[in-house]
Amino acid sequence: MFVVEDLRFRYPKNREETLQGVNFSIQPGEIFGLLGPSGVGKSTTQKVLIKLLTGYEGRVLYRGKDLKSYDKNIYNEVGVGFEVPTHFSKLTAEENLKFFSQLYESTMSIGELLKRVGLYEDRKKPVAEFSKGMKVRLNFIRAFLNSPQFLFLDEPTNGLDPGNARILKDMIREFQAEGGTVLLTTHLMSDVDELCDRVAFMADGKIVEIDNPKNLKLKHGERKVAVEYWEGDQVRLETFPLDQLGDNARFLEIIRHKQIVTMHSKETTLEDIFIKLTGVEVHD
Amino acid sequence: MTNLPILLRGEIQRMKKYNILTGGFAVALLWVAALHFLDRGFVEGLFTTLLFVDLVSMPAILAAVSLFYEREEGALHAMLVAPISHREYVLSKMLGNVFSSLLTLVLMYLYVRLFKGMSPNVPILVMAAVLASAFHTLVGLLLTYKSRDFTGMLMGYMVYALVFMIPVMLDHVGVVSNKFFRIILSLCPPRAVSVLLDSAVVELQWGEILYGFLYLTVVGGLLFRTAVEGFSQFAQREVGV
Repeated sequence: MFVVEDLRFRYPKNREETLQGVNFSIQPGEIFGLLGPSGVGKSTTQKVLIKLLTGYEGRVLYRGKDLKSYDKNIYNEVGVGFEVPTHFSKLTAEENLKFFSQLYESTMSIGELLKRVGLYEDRKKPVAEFSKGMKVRLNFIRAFLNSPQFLFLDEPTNGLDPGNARILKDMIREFQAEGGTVLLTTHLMSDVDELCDRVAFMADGKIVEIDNPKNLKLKHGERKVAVEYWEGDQVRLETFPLDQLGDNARFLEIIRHKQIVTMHSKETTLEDIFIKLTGVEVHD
Repeated sequence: MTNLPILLRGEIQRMKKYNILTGGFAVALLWVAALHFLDRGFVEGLFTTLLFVDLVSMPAILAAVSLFYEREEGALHAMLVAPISHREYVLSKMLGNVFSSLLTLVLMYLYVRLFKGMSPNVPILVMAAVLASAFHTLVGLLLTYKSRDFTGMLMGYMVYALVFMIPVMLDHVGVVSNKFFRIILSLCPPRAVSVLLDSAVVELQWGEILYGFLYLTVVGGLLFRTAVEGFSQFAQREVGV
């Protein structure tokens, strides 16, 4: 749906380019994760793709056509969920959604959306009286208002309790099942692991790795198993290669004759990959 | 398809919710109170002066308030990814303020008509209110684009008032009689507003009306174009450029 080729962008006040030749594509129906530490160009990339930033170099195609050739009507088929609240605080949740929904050609039922994220009972309250989590949920459903085909979601579950985060993730999955495409930006690796079909890691204005989470884990992980067992009154740890594990005499001896404390395969996590590729710790 | 009617309805709804209309109405009541304590002889002059002050200042300030609210609450971001053009957005701000100015005009007109026996020319008054309010909404928007915060915008507006509005008021009350100065004054936007209002109350002066109408529509048209282009740059700055 999107093809991004050699995308470059420099903010007027900066000397260096924030985007230094970004290349990737997003296929119809996939959930594509864009990851990286703050300041590497994730938001800038997203802002170019939602036409908030102009003056970029390189090529961005949407449905095979230059993004620059699209006018305001592109927002009838693209939904954008910002991380920060984007509501009129003195209007109620319902008034906010009603106002924005009237601007679109096709819309989803406001009541249904509010019910789905548990805000229906609070629909008559001014948004100023909402908690942070309620504002996040309202932000999220605002992106769905125009019944979009493509969703841009920036940290959609940030600040939510696990129950509400689950509802939003289910909605993203259902959106995908109905043919929708998503670009997801988040720091929460559990969300990425759960939702994304492919992931791009960004560092220093470039994409340093793109693949699906499983391949990334295989590529960056260690094919080993770690075994903790009792040896007298001490717990000992030994690791063994996963390949031909069944023929490994030492491993077989331990599991036959020792009392095992723990045994784990040394799979890597997306968080480890994030740190390895970007050099920055993940902060939830 | 234009989204202007929806934007305008939304603008008026927010003007109500954020008490902007109430504020405008309160100011109008203040003007009525000022008129109430004057004799018929003074009311005519003060009626146009108060309307002049209202039409030249309130739309500019209300436009700034509205834009700063949207910026602070992040709602501006949501507007930027909605299927609306920058032209529609600017127009909705103008028309929202015109609505507010017309409410003030109706209140003041009804008062002077019913209680002071005045009969100003309604079509000219309405024309003056619409053009002046739209024009000064654009002034307010342009000042807002250039300001970091509301205080900065107010400072910018003070300069505008000092340079363009005060000299016109001094001329209006007869403090200035220099011919050259009056020619210079005719270049000031508030002067165009002032002559339209005077024509509605004192006597119909077609030359003055034509001057006021042409000034506010032609210069206003140019200002509208600048405000739409300026909004594009303002929007870019809002998203981090």
